[in-house]
Amino acid sequence: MLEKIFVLFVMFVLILAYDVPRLKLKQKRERLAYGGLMLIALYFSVDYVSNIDMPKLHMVVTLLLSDTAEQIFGYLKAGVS
Amino acid sequence: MEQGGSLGGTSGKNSSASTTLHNQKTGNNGGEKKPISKILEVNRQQIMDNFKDCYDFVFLPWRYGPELGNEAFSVYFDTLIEDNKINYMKSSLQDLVSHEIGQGTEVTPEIFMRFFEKHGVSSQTAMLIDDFDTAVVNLLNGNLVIFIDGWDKVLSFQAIGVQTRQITEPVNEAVVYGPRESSVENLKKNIGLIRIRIKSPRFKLESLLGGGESQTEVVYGYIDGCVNPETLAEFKRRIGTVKDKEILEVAYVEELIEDSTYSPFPQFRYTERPDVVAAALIDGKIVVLCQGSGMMMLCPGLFIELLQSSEDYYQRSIIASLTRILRLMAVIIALTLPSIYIALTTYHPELIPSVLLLAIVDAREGIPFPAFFEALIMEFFFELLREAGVRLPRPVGSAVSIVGALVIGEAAIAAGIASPIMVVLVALTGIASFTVPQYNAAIAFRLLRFPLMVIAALLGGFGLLFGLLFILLHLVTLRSLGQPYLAPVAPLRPRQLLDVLIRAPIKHLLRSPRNRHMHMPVTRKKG
Amino acid sequence: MTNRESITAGQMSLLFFTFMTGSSIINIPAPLIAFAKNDAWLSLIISGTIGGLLLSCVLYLNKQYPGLTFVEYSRKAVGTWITYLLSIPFVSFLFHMCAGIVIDVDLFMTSSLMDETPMYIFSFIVLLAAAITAQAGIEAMARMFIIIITVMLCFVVIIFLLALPDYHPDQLLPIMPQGIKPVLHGAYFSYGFPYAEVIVFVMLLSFVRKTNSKELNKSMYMALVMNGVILIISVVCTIMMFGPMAGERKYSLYQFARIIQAVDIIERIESIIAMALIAGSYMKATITLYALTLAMSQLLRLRDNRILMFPIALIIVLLTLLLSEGMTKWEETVATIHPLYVSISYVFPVLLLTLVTWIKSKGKQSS
Repeated sequence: MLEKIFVLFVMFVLILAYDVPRLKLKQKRERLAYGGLMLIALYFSVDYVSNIDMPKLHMVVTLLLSDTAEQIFGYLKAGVS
Repeated sequence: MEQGGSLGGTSGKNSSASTTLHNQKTGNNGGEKKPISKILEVNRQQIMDNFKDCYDFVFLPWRYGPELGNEAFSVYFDTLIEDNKINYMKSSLQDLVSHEIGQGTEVTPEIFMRFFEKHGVSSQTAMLIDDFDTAVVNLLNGNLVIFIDGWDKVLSFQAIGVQTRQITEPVNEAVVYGPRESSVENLKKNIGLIRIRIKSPRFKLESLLGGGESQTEVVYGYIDGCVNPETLAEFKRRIGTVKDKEILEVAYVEELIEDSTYSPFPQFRYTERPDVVAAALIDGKIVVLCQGSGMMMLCPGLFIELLQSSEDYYQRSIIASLTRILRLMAVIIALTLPSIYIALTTYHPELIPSVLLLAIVDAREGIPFPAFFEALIMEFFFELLREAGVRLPRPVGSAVSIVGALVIGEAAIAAGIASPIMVVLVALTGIASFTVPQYNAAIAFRLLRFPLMVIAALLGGFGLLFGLLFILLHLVTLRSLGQPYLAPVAPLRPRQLLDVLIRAPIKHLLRSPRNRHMHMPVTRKKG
Repeated sequence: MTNRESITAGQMSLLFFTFMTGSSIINIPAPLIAFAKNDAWLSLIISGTIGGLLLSCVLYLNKQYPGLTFVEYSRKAVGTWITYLLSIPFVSFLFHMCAGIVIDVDLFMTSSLMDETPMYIFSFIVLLAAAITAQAGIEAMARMFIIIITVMLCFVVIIFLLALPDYHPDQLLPIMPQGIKPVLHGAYFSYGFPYAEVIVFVMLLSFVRKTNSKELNKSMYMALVMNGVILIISVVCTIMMFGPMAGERKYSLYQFARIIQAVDIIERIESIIAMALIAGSYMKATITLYALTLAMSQLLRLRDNRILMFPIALIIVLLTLLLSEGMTKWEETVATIHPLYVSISYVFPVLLLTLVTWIKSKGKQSS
């Protein structure tokens, strides 16, 4: 778990080191968008590091679609012996 | 150093010489011309003050006219002047007046001056100068300057006799066939060697003066009609930065005008050979020369050209094509062979054919280091040897090369530090890197070997793949004077590919201009 | 969009070909053959045709709105709010898809070549390379990829040729022993991956230089056909080599390379083909990342459409680590859910826009 934290930390630092000087030149809108995305990244990092299954977008999709998907799949497979 | 009308193409007027002096530090405000006084003593004082403590500065007073009543003096730098010219003007002036005007006539300085100003001087490169700073510059350029009492102009003419190297065979770019003339350190001779090969009034040469204490003359040339006008405009825009810097070598100019200073790959080509320059000029390149430098710089330089040699065009088409392919393989070997070895032995041993694998395992038995460190150490030794070999004084040379070969070869193997396979690899890599015709490109490949070795040691083939991808990415975004570095491979221009990997027969290549990829839109240097 | 780069139609088609073939060549044959057995190539023909239809919608929209990307002309056609609505699945699937490409690389590396290395290293490096390349711009990408894809295809073709002595063409028969359902199943799967992904190019076609727009249609179709041909050849060769059992082992091309033994020296060259395939996935990931960043920047109406690249890449790295907790689960997801997911996210918005645009243009004509 520690190594995961370390690796993620390194990644964050590298990205910020590269982008912060550039961000200073940009406007508020870009900074907000950037910050928002980094927050999402942070959210996912916590999820990954801590092994808790936090809610993610694809889960919504999976829930919605899996029934239909199963049905189609079953239908298509049914022909195979 | 030459000035004025003897260089074809440079403007030969005095005024241009004096206008380019405005930025100089001769203690004068820019724009003001310090006139020469009519009183000889004032001039003498000024000159002596200026050149105080210069032991090679010679001040020679003399007299002329009936009963030697009129005074004058010559000044020059003893170290710059050719000996037999010292008395040149002086003796002819002393004789002249009595013959020209006639015996017994009163000779005044006015008559003298009228003669010079109206009739001009028949001596080759004499000039009349009316401001002090130009006179100083002329002195520094190796001219002889004569001040005459009662005249507010001075005579200056060329007398320079500094020795330069004779035109010999090129040191770094030997060929088997082909011309063997190489450039020397004298600007005039170099330009002469080029101009004799391009007999066209469209071969233009423009000169710039560097600044600072060295005031080196930098000359650039191109063929009007072959060169891409946008590239030329971009070049002119950049070369303006040279004006107030002290340029001691063309390499300084390169660093000042290149697109990317931090890239290991050179963006301009160097050559010592006028035939290469002539071919490049016809291709639409710009040549830069510098007084005191034997290297001629060609811009822009593309990646493909770093792997080309002028000899390709002097040999048969098929031979030349095969040689080019050989060189490309050599580049790949020089860049990646150690990394491939490390990646294969550490991560993918199954790729090595079993017989060879057994040989490698056998050879590597007992070596204390893992493959990476072994490779690193041997490569490092090789680089040391190479660098030492360049700096060796000749008497020591042979002894050290024997020692080097013995140490690195036999002793290392015997001591168990390196395996024979490693020595073979390192030697092969070194030899491969020397096949690259351009020296500074070979350095780039040698340099990039090391990061690739590191990344191959960490991640095997995967790492090597991405290391090469990063290098490729860098090359793709690199530009030389605004031209894409990897043209004509990327962006793809099929018609120029005839000269890239293979050397198509001359009749296909002579449809001029040969390398039309020069005529492409230019992107400005960022920042 | 000021300071827009532009590439030629040829380069765009090359990017398209690279995109479609890049990760497909390694990942498609095995599952496809598992579903459709010997008739996998028929499935490809079907899904390839569907891909062609989708491509025609994309090209039609590009013609109607020259110089605009999907987000821009969707705003014009159906208004801002519906654009936002449509974009949510669009963008989310772009994330998912890019993560998918990298997951495939991760799983490939950890299952066969370098199984001791943790997955995040591969994700990180591939996405780092992708982000840096995408930052360099679409021109740089076009230039680089032509070199890489040429090398890659050479390797692939060499592999197929070297295996010539081991082929059993009789494995291709019989055709459709179990009816059409397996073929449809295979078509369903390969529609989900890769053919529906044609839609990604709605974001990128606007970069073609104006002078080349007429040639664009022709070259894009050609690229699609070439891609189809390559995939069909690879599937056919796999079947000829392994028979219907090819579906049991993943990464058919890799298995191919393992078996080849020619000239006594060239054996077990799977590492080389592995590198070629990773390069292909990297190229596809770069293109996807570029399209994704562009889409997000345009949605949020940012002026700089490159600044978001690194955070997005970081999110994708994390997604790859989160989504791939198990190889079989991932495969199942791809096989079952992806075709539906992609229909909602990619196909539906594009079809909607095509319809709306067509109606509008008819309306203009009549008035």
